[in-house]
Amino acid sequence: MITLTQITLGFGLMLLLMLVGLHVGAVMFLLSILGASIFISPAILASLGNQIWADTDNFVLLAIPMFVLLGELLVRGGSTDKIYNSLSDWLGSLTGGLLHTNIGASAMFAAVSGSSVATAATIGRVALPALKTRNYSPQLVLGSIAAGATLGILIPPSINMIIYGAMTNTSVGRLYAAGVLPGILLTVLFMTVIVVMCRIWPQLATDRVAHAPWSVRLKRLVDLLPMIAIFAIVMGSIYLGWATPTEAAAVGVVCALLLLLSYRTLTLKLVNECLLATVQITALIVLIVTGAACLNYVLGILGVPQALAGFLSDIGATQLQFILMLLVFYIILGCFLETLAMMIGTIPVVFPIVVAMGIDPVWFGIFLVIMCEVSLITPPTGMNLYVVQGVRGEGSIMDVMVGTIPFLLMMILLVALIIVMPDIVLWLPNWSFGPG
Amino acid sequence: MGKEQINPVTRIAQPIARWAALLCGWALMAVVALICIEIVARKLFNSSFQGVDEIGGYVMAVLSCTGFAYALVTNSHVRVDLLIARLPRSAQAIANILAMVILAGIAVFIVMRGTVVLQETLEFGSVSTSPLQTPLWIPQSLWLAGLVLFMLVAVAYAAHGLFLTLTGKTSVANTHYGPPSLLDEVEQEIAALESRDPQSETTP
Repeated sequence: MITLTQITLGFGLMLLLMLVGLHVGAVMFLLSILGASIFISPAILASLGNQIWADTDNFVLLAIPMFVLLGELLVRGGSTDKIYNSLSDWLGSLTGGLLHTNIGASAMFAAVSGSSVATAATIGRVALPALKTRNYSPQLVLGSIAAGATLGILIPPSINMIIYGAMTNTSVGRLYAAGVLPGILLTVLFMTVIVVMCRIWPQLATDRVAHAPWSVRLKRLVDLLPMIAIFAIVMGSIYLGWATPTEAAAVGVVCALLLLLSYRTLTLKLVNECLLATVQITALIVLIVTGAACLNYVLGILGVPQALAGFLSDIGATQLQFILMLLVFYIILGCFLETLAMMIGTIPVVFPIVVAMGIDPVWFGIFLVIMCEVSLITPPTGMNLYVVQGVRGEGSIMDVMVGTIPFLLMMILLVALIIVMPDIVLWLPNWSFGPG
Repeated sequence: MGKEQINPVTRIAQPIARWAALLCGWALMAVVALICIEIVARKLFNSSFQGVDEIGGYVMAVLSCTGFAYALVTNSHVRVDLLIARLPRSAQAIANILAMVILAGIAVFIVMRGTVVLQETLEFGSVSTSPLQTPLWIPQSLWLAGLVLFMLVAVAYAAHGLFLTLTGKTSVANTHYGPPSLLDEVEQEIAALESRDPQSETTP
């Protein structure tokens, strides 16, 4: 059987190959081939073709292009600025003013989009011009957008949860239900930290938004309805058991098309662009997923998960110690690996141990997604930092990095909360789908 | 780096891959329509025509594997550029070409294994074990065609990159085969937003 040293070397090799710029998907295939050839025989990969066919001929994974398409349509054809204005009517009067609108709009957008990067770009583009002319701390403005946008993958629908569900045979519906309360809680934590900071240091946000008259505020409230309706239809049909996530996403796409039709932004060119972006994003995800599935298969034959689980039981690690180890492991890994690569690349090794340690797969899925959120805003590779900086187009990226720190702390606090009270995650899925 | 030069391989491969990706995209749209019709039929008439999920699965398989090629010509497959960006230019070229050669090798390997799948299906005349009884060679040959397209592009890129490096044109090799930098991705995201109809930008 494989030794711990060999496993560590293998993992080190994987990181090294990724860091020298090999394609992340190719690294995983390459490691599978190397592992199979060195320890057993390349013959165990004879059925690789059938595996790839079985991995990709997958109705659950079809939810990925569906939700990507839904997000693309709403980003390119929807009207984020109207949503932003309407939300600022209601959130702008809190201490911290428009900063709350960044968080609120991100949460709202997250509820129809499965991607944090798209959320960051969209909110950033609307919010930055609005905030530039006002008297807000630029760091906090940038940080609130970069961090708020990470809610995109925690609040359902979430692409990351579909990938996790498909790779680990965990119900995507359950994961979606599990993401709701932590998502709301994190939104509240983000807003709380803004209020607290602005109370302590009032100079961070000296500008208050003038109240729009009630008639205007109520009229603008209508702008929120389409997003709320799409969210309600998509998520409602999943929670009520009327549709699978894939089917619900398809319904969402039709709703988005109708919405764009009513906005008069629906053109063939726009649809084609959305479809191309959808195929592109889906393909880059699937290449990594099939590579990881192949690696998963080889690691299973080599007995890697058993070896690691054996090591953990030898050192007598408790569930809590193991989770804390994972927390540190993912924070470090997230600093220098791209988020998808980090999540998909570690599932084959980590997930079997998680199951062996008796940790609920749904709970772990949410934990992993929060770790992905952390990696999206930790330098030097946090994608959201660069997106927000890119939209801003001036100054130093350090401003964005500094600004995300309070929100990063809130994410860690959320992890602590779901460790202490796992029911924050598990209550809703157990309530709507029965105990798992 | 100089003025952006168009990669000759991309110039030939991009239109083909784009066209294939667009076809897959519209196939996805067709599945969207099928699913919605299915849901309405299920809810209203209590009758369900079988097989939408099966067709959806086939579309997913063909779409993702054909998309491999499109993602390759648009240089959007995930690569980490943290370390490579800090290397001297010659070392960068070696890392970039290594990446392309390994990707091409993997693509060839996948196509070899994938060919076996289609061969067996043809040999045994396999059909799906579902009410549709789809002859599996139909979706599988489309799927394999997508993988072959990916392989051809990957091999051409590797050969071109190797040629550039061996003839000393390392900086050209780096422009063509460097990892998608974070800035590229950011530019793409912003470009996507800017392609929005200006009509929807007007604030009330």
